[in-house]
Amino acid sequence: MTAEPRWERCIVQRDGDVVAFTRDFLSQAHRKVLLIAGGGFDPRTTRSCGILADHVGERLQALFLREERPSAASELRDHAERNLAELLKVVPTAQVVPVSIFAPDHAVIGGREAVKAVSRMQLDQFTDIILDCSALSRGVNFPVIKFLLEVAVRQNIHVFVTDEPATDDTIVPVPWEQASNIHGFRGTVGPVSQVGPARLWLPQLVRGQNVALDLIYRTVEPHDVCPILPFPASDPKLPDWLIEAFATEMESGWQVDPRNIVYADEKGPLDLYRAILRIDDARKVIFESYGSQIVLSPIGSKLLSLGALLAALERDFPVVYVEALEYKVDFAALDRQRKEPGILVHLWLKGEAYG
Amino acid sequence: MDNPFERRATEQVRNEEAFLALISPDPITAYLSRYGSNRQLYDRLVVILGTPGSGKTTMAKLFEFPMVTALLRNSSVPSYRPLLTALADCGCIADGVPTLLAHRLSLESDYREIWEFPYPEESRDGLLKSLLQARTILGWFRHLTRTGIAPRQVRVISTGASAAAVEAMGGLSGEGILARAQQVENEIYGIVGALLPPSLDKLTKGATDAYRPFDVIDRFVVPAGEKSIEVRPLIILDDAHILHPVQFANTSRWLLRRELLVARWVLTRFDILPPDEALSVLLTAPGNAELPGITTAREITQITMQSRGDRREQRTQFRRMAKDMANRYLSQMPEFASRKLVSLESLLIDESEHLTDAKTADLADRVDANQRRLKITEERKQRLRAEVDSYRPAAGDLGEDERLAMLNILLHRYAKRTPQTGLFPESADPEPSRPLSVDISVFDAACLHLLHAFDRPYYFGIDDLCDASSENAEQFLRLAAILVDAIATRLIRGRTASLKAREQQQLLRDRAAAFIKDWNFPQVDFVRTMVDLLAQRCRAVSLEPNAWIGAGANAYGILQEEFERLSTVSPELGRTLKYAIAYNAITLVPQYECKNKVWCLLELGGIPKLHYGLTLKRGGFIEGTLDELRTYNRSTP
Repeated sequence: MTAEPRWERCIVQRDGDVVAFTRDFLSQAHRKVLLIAGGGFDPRTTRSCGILADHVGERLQALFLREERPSAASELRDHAERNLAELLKVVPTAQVVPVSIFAPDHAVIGGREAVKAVSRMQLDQFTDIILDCSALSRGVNFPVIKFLLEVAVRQNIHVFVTDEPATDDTIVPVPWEQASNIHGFRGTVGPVSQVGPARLWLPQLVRGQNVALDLIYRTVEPHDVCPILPFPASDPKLPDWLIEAFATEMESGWQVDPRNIVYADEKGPLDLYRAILRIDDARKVIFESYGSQIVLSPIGSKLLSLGALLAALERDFPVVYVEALEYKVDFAALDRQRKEPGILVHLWLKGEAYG
Repeated sequence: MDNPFERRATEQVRNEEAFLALISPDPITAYLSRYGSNRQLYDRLVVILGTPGSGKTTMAKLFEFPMVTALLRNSSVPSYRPLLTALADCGCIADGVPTLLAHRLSLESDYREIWEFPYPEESRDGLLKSLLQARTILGWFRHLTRTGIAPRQVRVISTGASAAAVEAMGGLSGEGILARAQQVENEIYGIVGALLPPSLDKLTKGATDAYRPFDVIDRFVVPAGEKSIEVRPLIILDDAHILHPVQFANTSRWLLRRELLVARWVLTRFDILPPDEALSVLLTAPGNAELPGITTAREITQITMQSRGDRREQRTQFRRMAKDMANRYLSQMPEFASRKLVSLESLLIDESEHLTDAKTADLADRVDANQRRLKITEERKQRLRAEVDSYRPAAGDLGEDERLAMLNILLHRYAKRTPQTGLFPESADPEPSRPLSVDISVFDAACLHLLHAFDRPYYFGIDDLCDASSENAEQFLRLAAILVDAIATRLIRGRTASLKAREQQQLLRDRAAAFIKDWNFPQVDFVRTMVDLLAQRCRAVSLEPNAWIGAGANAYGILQEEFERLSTVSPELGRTLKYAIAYNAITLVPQYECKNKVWCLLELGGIPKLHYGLTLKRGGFIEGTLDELRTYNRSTP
């Protein structure tokens, strides 16, 4: 019998509960808290920092990773400067570290650079380390979470994310021309194109990301594809829209069997996590002699991608993505639709809650 | 509906026979045969440069051992014979058995990651070479296993290397070599996959020990039926542009050594080279170019799958290959194959669609108005009309709309070649300074004018589809995909299969616009702006009423001598041009002789030509300067 998954009983809190947790738990006098967050243009950048500063006060230290992309528009840089100024007003002692996402020859190095930046911190002086993924790209936050889980001995590791699928949709990445593994997520059986086992690719479908997903498909060369669709979702018609938007790929390219669609609760990262593990368990039996390899590509909403992250961490699945060369953001539209901030979600991944 | 044109089907098929059914032998014959016949493909480093989608990988896959054995297994199938001949011409097959054990190693990000390690360059270089060699060995053995040859049946003939080198490789038995390669690969993969690499002094012995199988291996001895054969190992490093430029240079230098008996090919995109070197590859004659840090170009067989040299021949050759490829793809689609519709050429109607009577009348009114404005006599107009009427295009007869558009051009040319009419009475009908002739260029210009004035179909037929593809297989397939889709829809609806010229044009131009919108590569904003500015200028010149440039302009010409100063005058412009050329937005045509001068042309790619409504014919260019071009190098129009 398979052992219970590591995060089967993962603590997940939302909004009011997160604030209460911050007030009642993180504010305890013996706690020293490190917040690692993005210092970029994303409107969600400042939210968790403000809540933590209110309750933790001077025991809060922060590391703001500022993702640098060579083609970033000046408007985005201006927004990032403003957000950063606001963050530093709240945590004046914070460190701001620029993280180059691309090397001068356009190799993707963001994940490696971010881990380097985090590894330079004296992590053992903190009781609680919080990574706020809201304004960090996956290429950065996935390796950082993995690194924190590896090095943390006594510390509590928390992940915060402001769940705003509509904001994720409004921030449109311009994909780089090559797909690659997220740093630290190469899997255990060699490079993706070399592996022998039956490869199943689980891409998270996102509107407007056809080019990126197709690049990933070509890199992964899977034997089978099970697209992940968000359902239930904030927009109930979203799965239909996505199927329509990816009709060409699903029919002509990826040759998806209509029965091979995975539905996952857009608001529940553990739902996707459990679904992926169930699929893996089932395939292990079927491909016992040949071997099975699941490859993940979580490029959709932040919350849903955390579910894929947990599965990748637990089973060492490769995660393949396409880094964004730059982002296109219509700030006017963003301001219009973003009248109220989205739900703040907390996942407690490691530490005293688990004994 | 499954449309294999939407992506290159060769990237999807796993079965050798299915792959072979899709492959055209033409690129092998065109690019490799002449080197294969004198062994230049195997006794030195071969560098194959090309744009994304130019067919480098497909060509390489064909040489892989399982593919060659599958081809030999099916040698009695008539459709495979051209491929067999092409591979035999390249020296890949002799006497009905393979002579090569080729493995294509796709250089993924793992290899580039090594450059990021905090070690001295020498150590990083050592790790890279060890990983490349270990994975190559694994690849060779995987191929042998796939064709039914177990590692224990394999023996290696050594180059005569030292006993220590042989031992470090795992001995000369197949099993020993394979085990050692697995060990080295595991050790280095562990370092590459680590979130933080270990410090140099903590690297394991397995990863840092001397491991140089390429220096040891001469031939593999493998069973073939009742007997044994010797095969030469070939490593094909695909997508080498992923390496850091210094890694690329070091790796090239390493593979350059003549004492290596392993055959080695490096497949790369042209943008791995620094801008000045990338452009000089295209500016210089084949065989004379140099790679970064390598001055012994004679030691390299360099094959450029990018437009240069005899362009007419290349166009003809590409058309042949593209048609062959399209037909092979069509035959994979049940909707077409079941109806015996396996020739794309026959499904794309290659006949002009003339204007409606109302539009023709409108055009006639415009011609009359121009005649009056230019103060040209009715008699002169009739004489010019008679010239037009006597012209016979290569295919078919002239329509009335074409005659009128040609007449309009002649009226304007006549007006340009006669003195100012204000000095003469209204009835004066002076002879032009140079006689007016009606030829193919007037006809082509008239057709282009009709496209822009009346949206009359201009891009149609298989040859236009091929020419719009910038001699790039992937671009051809992606353009063809939309046409094939439309034809399939017609079949499903029970309509005639063939696509009319207007439908073809609409689909192609829509797709071209979508391609340009979706461009994503370094310097894309600069490239997009430059293409836009150049295309608009070409269009304006092409639509001059007297069509002085003939069929139309689609290129920007700078004197060759001036262009060669590009890297010193404007490195930023060189960088933009490098990516524009590497991604088919622009084609460089050096040494173009015109008006007793030597030019370097920046010809717009097929996709911009379609999008901006420019001629697909070559040769028409607007004269410019490097200084002017520098002003176009900006990120917004």
